[in-house]
Amino acid sequence: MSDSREEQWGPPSQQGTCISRLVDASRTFETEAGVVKAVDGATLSVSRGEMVGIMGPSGSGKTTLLNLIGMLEDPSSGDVYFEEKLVRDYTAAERRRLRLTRVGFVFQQFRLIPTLSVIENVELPMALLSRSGSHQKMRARELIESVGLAGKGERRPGKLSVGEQQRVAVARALANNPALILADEPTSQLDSTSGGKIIDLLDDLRKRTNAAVVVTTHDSSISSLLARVYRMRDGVLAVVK
Amino acid sequence: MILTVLGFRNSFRKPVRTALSILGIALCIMLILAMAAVSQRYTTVVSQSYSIYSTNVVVVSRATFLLEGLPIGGTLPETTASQIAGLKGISSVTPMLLVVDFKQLVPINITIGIPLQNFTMFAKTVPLRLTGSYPASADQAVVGEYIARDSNLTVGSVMKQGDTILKVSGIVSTSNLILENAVIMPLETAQTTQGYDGFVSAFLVSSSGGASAASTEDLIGSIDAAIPGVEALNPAQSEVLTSPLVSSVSLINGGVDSFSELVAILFVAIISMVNITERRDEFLTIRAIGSSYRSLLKIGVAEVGLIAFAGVLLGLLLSSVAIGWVFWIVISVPMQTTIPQFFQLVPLSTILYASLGIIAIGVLVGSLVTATMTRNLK
Repeated sequence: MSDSREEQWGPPSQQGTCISRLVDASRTFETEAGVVKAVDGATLSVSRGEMVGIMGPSGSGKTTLLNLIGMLEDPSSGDVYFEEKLVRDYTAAERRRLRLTRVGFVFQQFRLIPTLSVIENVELPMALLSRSGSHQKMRARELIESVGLAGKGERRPGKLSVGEQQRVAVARALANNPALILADEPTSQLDSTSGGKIIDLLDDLRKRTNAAVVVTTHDSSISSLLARVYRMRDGVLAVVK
Repeated sequence: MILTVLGFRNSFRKPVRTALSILGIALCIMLILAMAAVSQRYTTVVSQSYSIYSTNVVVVSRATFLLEGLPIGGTLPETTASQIAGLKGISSVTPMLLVVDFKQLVPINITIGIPLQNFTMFAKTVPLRLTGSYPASADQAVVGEYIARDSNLTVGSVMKQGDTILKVSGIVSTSNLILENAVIMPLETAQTTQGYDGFVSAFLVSSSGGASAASTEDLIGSIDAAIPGVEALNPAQSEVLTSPLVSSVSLINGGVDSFSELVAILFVAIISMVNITERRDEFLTIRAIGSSYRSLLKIGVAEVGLIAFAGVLLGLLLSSVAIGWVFWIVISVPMQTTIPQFFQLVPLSTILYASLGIIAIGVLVGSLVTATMTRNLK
């Protein structure tokens, strides 16, 4: 890797290092209809440099599973580890810091800030980390170029196509050079061609940054693009390939 | 920086609501400052009324009603002067006729009549500058600067008082609101033009024993005992009637202040709540990607801070217009006169208290609302 490439993407980390691990993790919610088990005894480990797909219909618990991996929620039972440490042993501030520095989120429906330009949206995670203005601006430009949106940095998200907005969301997820990228239904609002391009983009970024990527989708055609796939149904996780 | 920019830009997402919020805060500021200006003017008039008396004892009729330090209603025969002068310990007695109209408790159309030889007495107690000269004859008068400006009078101009034509011999420039609004003429002329032939409003009495409290009390006691139908007062006594009025004005002023501040704070709190509720997903996203509560606070504070600041600026602008309007309606002072005098009419301390108070408390309340609501977002 050249120096400039290291500057852009950070130094390559140890391939195969376990970044997140779930051991018999469950997450239940109490609703008016009774207790709902959104994730039921999931066991999964994700290592650096690999791309994992979670397939399943809407409401099968995929988003809750990502929330557990991303430390946005605590398991009701079982254990969740992040970088080999039990998540429950991290303080709230440590988890927040880890989410900011080690995890990149690509949310369903992108969740871009409509009042910020494309470049400012990508800068946001860096701004939360109090990085210098010039550094964050430069890196945001590089990321926007890397997702194929060069020249569209000053536009507001509302002026972009759905596919372009998804690319901005991916660029934002990469802002702080994360070790783990969690993409929740990144192709759900795209046609199959655009969806395939997003998966290719994530795979390309994985190879370049050595980050682990976890993608959820209800589109079975996407699974053919992924090397390791799980299926989720009624909160239960099962290996497909 | 982006967080602050985000807060600012959010304010323009709903321009009508933001504009109404700014206007609401501006109206609160306007209410506080307009009320302060009116009460300030009122208390200044009251306090300055006493200073036109160059002596420490003022003798008035028992039928006189003292309003804002000015004798209203009752009169005394001019001949009473000789009775007072005949008492032991009196060094001088100056008759004065004071005819005042009041509009909304503010003195207007003030006519003061004093003997020709006593015209310099005001200069002893009130800082003033005379352009021209004091009257040398019964057909001359000096006028206050405001009257001169309002009636377009200069030294040498003529003016009509009833059926009498008077020549302006001088113009008095002073910060005293009574003299500034008065036509001061020889006593006889005032008595004739105002229909008070042989009568005066008050006698200004000096004692030969000096102005000590004991000497003043002795003098008052001897006048009250010797001359029926009169009342000798020192300035403290003449305040008895006006003090409750001043207190009431201060109380109302305080009430309006508190109410307006409360309304402004409610505005800010509601704006913060609505902003966060409406943009729940955005706040959740920012929190999910790892934002600290301090960063979320920055966004909230930038939004309410901008609205509060804009509200204060607009409020200051509206206040100057409102104060001008109130003074024009109440005492017929032209708006073009009062608006440039905004900072004289409203004490700087009140402006700072209202402006910075609303910004500071608004930001504090906005922060608290943002902190509480973002913490509870699920």
